Amino acid sequence: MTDVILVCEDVFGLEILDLLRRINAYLARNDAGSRYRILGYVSDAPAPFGGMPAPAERLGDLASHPMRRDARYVLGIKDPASKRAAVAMILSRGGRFETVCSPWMICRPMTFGEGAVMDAYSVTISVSVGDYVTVCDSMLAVEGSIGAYSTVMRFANVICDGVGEEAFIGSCAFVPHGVTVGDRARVLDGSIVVKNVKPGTTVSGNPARKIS
Amino acid sequence: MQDLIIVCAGGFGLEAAAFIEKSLFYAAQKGEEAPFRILGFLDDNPDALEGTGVDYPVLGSISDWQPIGNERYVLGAASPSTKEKLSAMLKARGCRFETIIAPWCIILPETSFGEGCIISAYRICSGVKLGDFVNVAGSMLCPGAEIGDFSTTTGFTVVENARIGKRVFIGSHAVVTDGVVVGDDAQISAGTIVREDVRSGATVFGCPAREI
Repeated sequence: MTDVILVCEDVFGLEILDLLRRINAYLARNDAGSRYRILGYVSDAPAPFGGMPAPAERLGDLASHPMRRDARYVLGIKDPASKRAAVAMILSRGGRFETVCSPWMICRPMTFGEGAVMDAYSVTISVSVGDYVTVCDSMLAVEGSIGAYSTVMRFANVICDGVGEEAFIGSCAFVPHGVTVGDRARVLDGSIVVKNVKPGTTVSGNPARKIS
Repeated sequence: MQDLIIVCAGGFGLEAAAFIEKSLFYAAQKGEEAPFRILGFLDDNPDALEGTGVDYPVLGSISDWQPIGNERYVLGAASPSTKEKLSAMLKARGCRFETIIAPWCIILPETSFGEGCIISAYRICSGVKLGDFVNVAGSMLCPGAEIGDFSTTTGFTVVENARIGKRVFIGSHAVVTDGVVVGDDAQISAGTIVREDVRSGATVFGCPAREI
């Protein structure tokens, strides 16, 4: 059993908390006990879950909460830049991140980067998944790597030639063979990408066009 | 054991029957008592089940049906206006409706359902609130999503932390993003990416959503 603390900034954190609870339930159903004990959450937002009752105890904000060196931190943030800032803060205070990988995910034995949160439908990646990558319920078949701090949201289908660092791919987006997504690029929800997404740009629509 | 009668022998009624049969199959596998028994269908067309391979009877027509005892009803319609009409008609005669949850659904704690829902969601995260007679098929409802009475969501839909009104229809592969409010009677076409509020009665389409 691993003691974990969720790091979050908004309601997306609940999705990752749900993932931890689902992994526990899945293992319990298969008589494999429980994997995570959730100690609580840390957040710089005063009410990250809006009006919803907090499902775990608030331990404080990132910079000042009492550090738990025996526990591992789990990233529950979707925005790549916020993730980078949160990771830097926790690491500077001596915290360590847990790599979370759902046991039902279809993938060959492979290692994921430190602090990655992987709940893909399936993963076939020929190179690597970087540190602090977040993947929710999507299909990944990348001939290349997924760079550190990148996020792939629900029902996205990413079968491209590589995703850079700090990239964001929204829900239901499709990124086909033959294209790459550059560093810090954003592919908004539902975009159908047809050509390379340049570093730092935001694309949207079908076919996806640059909007900034 | 609860006796069930399925209202409407169309495609969605047959799907509801399949969910119920699967629950019975799982219960039998675990050696548990069967939770339900399907008595048959109600449909205004007495030959509605012909050629479908389903061997339940059509017990009578919806328009002149009277309840028989302790049976519960399952509303096998997907169209919001049909659901509202039929549920009002049958409830006025004293029929009571059962909520059916397909056994493979992942439903986290702290979710609430109204009566007469049919749920075969991909996943319903914590803090989701559903009204009465809501159909959720193959969708992902993220933490905090609220869906009003008689609304329907279809396959590969993502509803983030958004508020959906009553009698709303959400087509396949649509995404309703964080914080959006969708008014009553709105229609969200397939593949639509909703990033701004949708007014009541509007039909929206495209990425980003535009009114048509």
